[in-house]
Parts: sequence; C-alpha cells; structure tokens
Amino acid sequence: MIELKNVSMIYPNGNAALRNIDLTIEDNEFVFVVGQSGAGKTTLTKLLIAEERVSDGEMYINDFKMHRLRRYKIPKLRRSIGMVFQDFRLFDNKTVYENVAFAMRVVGARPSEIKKRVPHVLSLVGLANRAKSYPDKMSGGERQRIAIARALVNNPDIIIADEPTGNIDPEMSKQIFELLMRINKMDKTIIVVTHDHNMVNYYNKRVIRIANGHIVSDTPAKSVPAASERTSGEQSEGGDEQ
Amino acid sequence: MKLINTFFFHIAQGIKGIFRNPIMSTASLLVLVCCMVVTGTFALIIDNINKNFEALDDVNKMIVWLDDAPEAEEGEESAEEQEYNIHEYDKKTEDAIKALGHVVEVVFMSKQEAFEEFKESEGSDAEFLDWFDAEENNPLRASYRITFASDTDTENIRYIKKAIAEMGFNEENIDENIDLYDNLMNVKGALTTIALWLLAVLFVISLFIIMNSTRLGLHSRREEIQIMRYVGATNSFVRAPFVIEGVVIGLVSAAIALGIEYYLYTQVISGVIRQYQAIVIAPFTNYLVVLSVAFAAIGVFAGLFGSVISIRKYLKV
Repeated sequence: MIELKNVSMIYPNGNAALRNIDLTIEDNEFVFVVGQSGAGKTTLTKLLIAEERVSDGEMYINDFKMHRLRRYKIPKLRRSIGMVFQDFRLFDNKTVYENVAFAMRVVGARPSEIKKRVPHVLSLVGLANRAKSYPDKMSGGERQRIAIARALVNNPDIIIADEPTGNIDPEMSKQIFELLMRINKMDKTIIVVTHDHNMVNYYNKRVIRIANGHIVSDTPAKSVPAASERTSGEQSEGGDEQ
Repeated sequence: MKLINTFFFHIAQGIKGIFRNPIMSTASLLVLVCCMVVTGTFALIIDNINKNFEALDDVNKMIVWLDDAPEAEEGEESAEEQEYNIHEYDKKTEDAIKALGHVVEVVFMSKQEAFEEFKESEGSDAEFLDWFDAEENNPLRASYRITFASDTDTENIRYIKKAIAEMGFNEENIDENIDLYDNLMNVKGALTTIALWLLAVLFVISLFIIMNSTRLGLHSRREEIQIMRYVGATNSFVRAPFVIEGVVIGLVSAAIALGIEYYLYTQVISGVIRQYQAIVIAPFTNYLVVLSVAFAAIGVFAGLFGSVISIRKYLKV
C-alpha cells in the first residue's frame, strides 16, 4: 500500500512542487495520475522512488517509511518498484534479452535465475521471438514493451509508468495500456502518469488529477464497464500468456 | 555462489571500463609505470650504495696507531712522551675504548702481527720484506682496530675520536674515514630526496589521471548507472567496476614496471656499474619480492584512491 499523509515537497530553490497531499493507493490498484506540465506529477513519481525526499508530512510504501528512509534502504525499496519511462531508456548496444537481463544482473541474480525468468517475462510482453533483436531496430511500441519487461523482471509489487505512451502512436499506445492492465491483474499496483486523456477516458480506472501541487480530484473507477471492457474481446492480445 | 558471480561480473565490467576509455587508461598506466620505475631504480641504487657501504671495511672502522716508545735519555722524558704515553697494549685502554658508545669490536694488532699480515697481503711481491725482521727492525706500528655499529654517524665518530685522544693517544695517529662517510651519506641523502620528490610528483599526476579516467567512465556510463539505480542496484554494486578498473590499471602498471625494472637493473645499471670493479652489485632476485610487493602496493593504492575520490565527487547514487 502507498500512503501519503499531508505530504509537501519543496525544492531547495523554494519551489513548492507538492503541497499537503493526502493519498492512499491500495495494493493491486490501477491508478492514472494526470495534470498539466509542472503540476507536480513528476515530483510525485520521484518521491515514490526516493529520488526526492518529502519536505513535510509522512509517506509509506509497503513497509518503508519514506519520510525517514535511510540511504542504504533505497536500493531495497527500488527493487519493489518497476519504472517505465517515456524515453524507454534502453541500451541500443544490448539485445532485448540483455536489456531485460541487465536489470536482474545488477541486483545480483544468479545466471540460472536470469535464464529462466527473462524468457518468461519476454513472452508476457509479447516479445519472445525478438529476444535477439536490438532495440534501435524496433518500433516505439516494441521498445516500450522491452522497458515494461525490464521493470517487471525483478517481480516488483508496484510499476510506475511515466508517460509510457508519450513517444508512440495511438494504436501502439492502446497495446501498451492493455499490457499494463494485464500486469495489473498479476497482483501488481500500477501507477500511470499520463497526458493521454483518450486512454484515461477509455479505461475505467481511478484517476488522480494534480494541479499546482495539489490533488484537485480523485475519481474512483466507475461501476459501469468502461469502453475498454466492453471491447475487451477485440482489444486483447495474447491475454493468456500469464 | 551469488557472491562469486557478482565478483566476476564486476571484474568483467572493470576490465571493459579500461577499454571504454583507452586513451585515458593508457595515460594512467604510463604515468604509474614511470612513477614505479623511477622510484624502484632510485631505491635499488640507494640499496646498492648501502651494501657497498657495508662492504667497504674502512668506512665504519677506525685505526689507532701506537708510536714506538721513544728511546729517552736517562733521567729525562721527552715532552711528547709525557703527553702521549700509550706505546703498548694495555687491557684497561682496550676496555675503555670498548665502553664507548657505538663501538662493537676492538682488536689489538701488535707490530709483529701487522708485519705478518702485511707480508701475507703482499704475497709473492713480499721479497723486499726480507730486509726487515718482525722483531728487530719492524717498520710497522702496533694498532687498535675499532669497528663501529653500522648506524654510527659522523658526529658519533668524531666524538669517539676525541674520547680516544683524551685517553692519551696522539690525535694524528687516529685514522678514520669521516670524509668518505660524509660523501657517501650525502650522495645517499640526495638520491633519497630526489626519489621521494619524483615519487610524490608522479604519484599525484597518476592519481589525477586515474581520477579523470574514472570521471570520463562515469560520464560515458551515466545512462547505464541511472538505470542501475532505478532497478535497485546498491551503491557498492554501481561503484565496484570503477574501483576495480583503477585497481586493475594499478596492477598491470606494477607488472609492466617490474619487467622494465628488471631490464634496467640487469642490463643497464649493472652494465654501467660493472665498469667499476670495486663496486659490488646485488642480484635482481634479492629485490624481486620486495619490488613486486611495493609496486603492487603503489598501483593498488593509486588505482583505489584515484577512483574512489572521483566516484565520491562525481557519482551521486
């Protein structure tokens, strides 16, 4: 569970990026975080991965007290969170397999574990047959799938996707969101920071809107099925791969 | 098993890092090699001076000659004999000399013994000594031969000389090698100073280059490091390859420096010194272990220190 109690974040230059935020995200929830540029979405993401520290208030992620988190505990926290970025952040000189394996390698996983886990995760994201390809020869959607596989490979509890569809076309975007939905069903908490209102409206999920460092609305998932669910039969792709 | 895997992963990453910035790695390596070779060469020369110092019998020895007793006319004593009244072996004098600080041995050599020793040293050329007789007309003088401890300095030798003269010996009859001793000490001191300065300057330069090499490595791998951080790599995991890179450069430099030093010592320095037959030169094997350890220590320390400074300065994990 993620819990923020009266959290403020003020940068050293005096800019208050977040002010008195109260927020709870339950385990296995799917949450969209939306807002204009500079609203505080990225700062919220940075707080979640301990890249920035709260200036005031209390923040908890599972067993971690983020407002008092010791430096040496940060790697352990980050192993429980998978990050997906708008710009993918892949190694073009490494194959798809190596990119994903790298995330396991740096947390000290055994080669035998890596050999077992990476093909499984690649098949989950629909890239089983592209393991030996290089990212720079692949489409934006495929590249983002590699990034999602990398975020997923260490089996984190939470996936944070920062503008995951910002650099890809609408059709591919839909596939990425479908993939994130499927991962959510694997008991993972998913937080998607996005500007893509079409997608937010399309899926019936909780939406947190931030403006000027405040949460201005927190809309829970509607009880009526969303457009995505009404058309799930047409949209799903490889849905049985779990 | 996990630790071993991680260890070999770091080693591989560290070695890859060396080839990622070949120019800076080569520069670090060359300066470190120079640092080690210069220091090693000076150390070997200084040690050989010390060895020759010890081999030169006369340097830490003093000879106190005993004049023959003057044949004074009856009833009168010469003024000289009144002042310098020791002309023969005396146990009390020997003990008094032995009691002086830094004296490790006192040997009395009688006129006869001196004659025999001289005759022996001349070998087949000693025919001219047939004119003399050890008892009757022996031209040589008796003496006390004093040996000092190896750490005796010129001040101590001067003090001993004065103390012996005060026992009743003519100061002109006391032979020592203070000037030679001084000269050798001066040469040794100058070489040590030069070596230490060169070591310091070259070490600082090599540290600076290793720091910059690490900094370049950090810059070229900044995206990789960022991803490592996001997926939960520990600080030590991120830093280890850079430290290993520095240490490997240090160890490779040490190995190259040892090879160059071997060539320099056995071919160049020994070749030059062999022209002076009186000078003894120690075999390189005497220094192999100590040089290997010293070079490895310099290399590891420079690599470790340089990379750690750079990491602490430029890598915020």
